[in-house]
Amino acid sequence: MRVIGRSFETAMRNEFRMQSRRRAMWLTMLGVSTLFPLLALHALDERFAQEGTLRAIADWTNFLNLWVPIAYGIVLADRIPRDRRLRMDELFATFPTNQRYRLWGKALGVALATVVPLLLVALAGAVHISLRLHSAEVMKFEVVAICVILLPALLFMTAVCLLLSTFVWPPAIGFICAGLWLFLQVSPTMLPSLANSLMSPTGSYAIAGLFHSDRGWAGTQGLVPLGPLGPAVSAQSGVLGPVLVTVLAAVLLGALPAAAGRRNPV
Amino acid sequence: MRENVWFLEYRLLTWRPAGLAAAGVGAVVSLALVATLVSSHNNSTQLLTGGIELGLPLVAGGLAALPAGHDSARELQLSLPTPYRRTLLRRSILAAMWPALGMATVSIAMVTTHRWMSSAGIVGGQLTWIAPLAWSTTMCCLVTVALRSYVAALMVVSVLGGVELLIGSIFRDQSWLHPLYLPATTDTLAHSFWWSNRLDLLGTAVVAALLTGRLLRRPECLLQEDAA
Amino acid sequence: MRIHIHELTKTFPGGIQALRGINLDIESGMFGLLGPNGAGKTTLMRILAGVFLPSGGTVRIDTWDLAVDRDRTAVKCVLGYLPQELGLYPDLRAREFLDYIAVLKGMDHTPSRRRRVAELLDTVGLAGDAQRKLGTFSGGMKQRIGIAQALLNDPRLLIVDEPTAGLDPEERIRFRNLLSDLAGDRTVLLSTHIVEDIAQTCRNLAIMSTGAVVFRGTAADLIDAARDHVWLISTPGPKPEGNLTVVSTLNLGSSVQYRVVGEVSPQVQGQGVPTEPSLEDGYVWVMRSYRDAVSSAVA
Repeated sequence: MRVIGRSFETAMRNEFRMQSRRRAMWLTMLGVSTLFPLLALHALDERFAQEGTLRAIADWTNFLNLWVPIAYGIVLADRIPRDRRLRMDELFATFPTNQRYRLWGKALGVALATVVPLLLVALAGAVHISLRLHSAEVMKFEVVAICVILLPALLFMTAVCLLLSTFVWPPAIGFICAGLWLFLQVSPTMLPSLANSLMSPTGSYAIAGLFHSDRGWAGTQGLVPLGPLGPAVSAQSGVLGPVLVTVLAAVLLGALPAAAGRRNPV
Repeated sequence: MRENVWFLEYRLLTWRPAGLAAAGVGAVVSLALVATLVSSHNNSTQLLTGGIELGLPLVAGGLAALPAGHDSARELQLSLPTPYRRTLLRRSILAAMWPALGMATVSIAMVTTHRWMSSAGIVGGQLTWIAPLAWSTTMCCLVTVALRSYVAALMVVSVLGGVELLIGSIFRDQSWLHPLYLPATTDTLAHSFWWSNRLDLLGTAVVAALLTGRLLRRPECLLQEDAA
Repeated sequence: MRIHIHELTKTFPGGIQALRGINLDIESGMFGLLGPNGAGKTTLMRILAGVFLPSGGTVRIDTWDLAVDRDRTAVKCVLGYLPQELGLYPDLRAREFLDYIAVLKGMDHTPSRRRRVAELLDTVGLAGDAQRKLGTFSGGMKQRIGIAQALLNDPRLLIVDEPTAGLDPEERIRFRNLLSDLAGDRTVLLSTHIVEDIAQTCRNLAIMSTGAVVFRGTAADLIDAARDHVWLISTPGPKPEGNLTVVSTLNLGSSVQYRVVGEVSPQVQGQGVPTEPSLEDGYVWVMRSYRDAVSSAVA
């Protein structure tokens, strides 16, 4: 048990460090995640001014959650192919430690490191809202919003992108990530999809059930209709939605070692 | 014979760019067919237009930047009398050729099935996909060479594509951002500035191409290990 | 071809100084460049091959100045280069790869190019593998393809960087002989940290350390430098004390024979005999002396 724990912890710590030291990761994640909010600042501020604190926070976090998971997924998807490219997987395969725990440690380490710049931007936005609305409660709400809207979505993308990267040609992963995320946003009135269902990682039920808001504002600003939610919107479904997405992500992550092992049999 | 080099460059790239382009075209057409069945003719037309105006140009961009992002024999290439810039250009053209062919095919199919959305007619309307193709391929190459990271280029264009689809009003409502707005045909509210937008995209593509060429004059920047 | 290097410097972004005022004159024939890892050999080779641009100083190859774009292209036309880490295109066949590089070297006439490719495949012993994909080649076969591509344009200047690393002993000998045969009126620049490769092939050599040339002369000069500083010491106990570098150790059963390089004290001299230095001893002596000089200068 101790060996398992060490294997997991070492992989997680090393991946976290390596990912945190990538200048390109910080530049692109911070650059991309601050650029669009700054471009939309005027529209966002107008929207915030019309709403209460709770809905403003939901809108802000939803705004980030619309597109941030694409960037996050693409950055993550490079990690496993990189091990193959550098022949590190061959070396790891010779180690007595359990490869499953190493891979899960790697997934968690790289995910934690990549999420840091996004959390900084999300919290910076919350500070901005707090100053605009003169509300001290904003930070508390933002932490909840991050936990039920942003983090389940990012966990879902972690699982999907790492899993894809074990068998898909690396340059194709970016397009699949972006395509999948956009597909998950599209209203079922346009295309059959799980968008706006409890299993959707878009955070729609958490936004409606816990923050009494909707994703409608974003839906009116672009070309993709986001559509209405199902009838069962409540505080319970607002919690159940993120939990189901987390469970789905955990199941996908559970399959990661098997998918990686198929490519590089140990 | 120089034509032999094109064939060998094609062999180097393997079938994968063609495969990815085919998958992209297949996805766009399939989604449009599904949309026809479950929603409306208008939705499927909008999907096809979005596919050739945003989705496939971004695929082309990613493929065009791929040779600048990775070359297993780069040091050897830099020691050869043929300028490496020329080799990269040849490879980028070959890689981006497949999605470009896909876009041309879809646009012909759209014209023949009366689904053509562009108000600029059939000939001028071809800028629906040509301008974003030029913009995306040159911009991806520029970001790859400037940041020495193919992943960064892929991320920037993919996120830009996502943001333009989901919250395109940011770009549509601020005129100084029009040169970055790719889906001006798909977005009927953007038709008022369609021509200037297309010319802006082409102009930006020329600037990006020139900047990339300039950066590639410093060969060692390519040899430094990709920080990503 | 004559290479004239004057006060050459190379500084990478971040301030890492890889070359610090190199001065070298290299004539036709084989020239060896020795030095430990990180000495700056590869950076120097890359500058001579036109891959890197110098930060300062001048490099002239015959009448061409490597700081000038057009001259650099002219040098590349007469250059054969085998980089230290030769990446190949795994999906190309051996014949296709050579054909491809030949076209990029400006060999546009198809029949003569194909003839040259076939001839070189034969020279490096890969004629039977011409249709195999490079991804299936062993390390030695890849090196042989590497040397074949370097020779495609019958280069007047051949630069080979660590060409024998990773080769088995037979292949190393074969490779060294091939390079010696090629030398003739060409200039062949061989960079390596394997002293034996230089001993077997080069009359003239230089040793680099920390971005500077610390020795320049013939192989005989290098051997002479270590004269009176190489001893064979047999002892039943531990290795002899003092500021000595043990070059080799031979277990004789009841005692151990050490081959040492350094200033041997009279006490230790009593236990051993002076011996004829080899090129490797000369290399060790020069590197020791350089390090000592640097330490005392710092002190």
